[in-house]
Amino acid sequence: MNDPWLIILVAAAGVTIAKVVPALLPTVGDTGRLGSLMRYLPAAILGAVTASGIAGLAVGSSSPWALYIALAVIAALAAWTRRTSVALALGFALVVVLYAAHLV
Amino acid sequence: VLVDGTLPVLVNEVLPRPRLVNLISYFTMTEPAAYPARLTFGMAVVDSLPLLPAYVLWAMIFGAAATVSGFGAIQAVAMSVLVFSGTAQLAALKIAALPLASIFLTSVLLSLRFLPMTLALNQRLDRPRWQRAVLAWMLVDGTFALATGRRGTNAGLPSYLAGAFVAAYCTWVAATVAGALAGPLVPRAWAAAADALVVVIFVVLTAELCITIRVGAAAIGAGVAALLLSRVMPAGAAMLVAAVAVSAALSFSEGRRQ
Repeated sequence: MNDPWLIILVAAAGVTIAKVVPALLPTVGDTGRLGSLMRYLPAAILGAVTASGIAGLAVGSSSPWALYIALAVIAALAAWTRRTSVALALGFALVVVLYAAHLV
Repeated sequence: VLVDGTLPVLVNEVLPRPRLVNLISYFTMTEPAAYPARLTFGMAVVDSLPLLPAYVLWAMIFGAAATVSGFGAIQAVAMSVLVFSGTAQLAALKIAALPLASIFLTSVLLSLRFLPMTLALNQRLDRPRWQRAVLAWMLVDGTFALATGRRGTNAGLPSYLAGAFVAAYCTWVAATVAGALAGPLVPRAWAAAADALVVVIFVVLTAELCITIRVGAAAIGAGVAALLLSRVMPAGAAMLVAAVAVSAALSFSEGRRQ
């Protein structure tokens, strides 16, 4: 194994570059094609992160469809009510039920 | 308003949280109660509370795994302090024996998902570049999701990001200390629980963000594309390519429609 301190420094450098370099780029205005792209980007990256997380969770699940349905219910509730706390509470409860039933 | 077609746009922008209040506030032209005029540090700390249990589980698992992998407790905590990225930290542990260049490249690839996050936040931050760089370093998936959810105003956004960072960072580092000290006593099953908590949080925050069909299409389209692309490239790169490609496609189609 490499020296742990070197591993720490190298990993920190990799993460910092990926995070900080885009912040040094000039911003684009709200109008035009780039501005339009930036309006969709937050939802797109959140969608990509969420989908990857769901896929990772489903890999270890004995019943992926139960998981998908539970998450779809949570998403529908969140989209309809716009109540973060209610949707999160129901979501955590559903996950507990799935675990208790050995479906995840 | 009806004639020039701005009503649907305004309703779509104002409609969420909760619908009736926003609809009333639209017709009375007042600020919806759920959208504060200014974001604050304290608001971010409160918003971060649902995320903290997942951070605790993940950081404890990392701390324990690091000490089992040959890192000292101080080194495990130093990694959380300096890297502050769960995926990059755990990946570095797994490939600790590979050349340092491989560890660096893996960290960059796994962190490429931060690129569109930082670019998107840049649009909302009217600050000098060095301040944007500092705020970008503070960013993690959860804090980006919280800041994106608070899209009603940009006033006080730096304070909000700092508050979300302090809540996440302090929790992350403190739980790493606990995990490093507990070592092998930390159950590995906690990883699955942490994963499930994070997924639920992201499903809720993403669903709440989808206030129009096109924004929903961006989220779902990028999600599907990221899954397909992750079969042929690292996950971080897949997320970056998927998000940018789907956003560009929607932006292009919007331009054509106009």
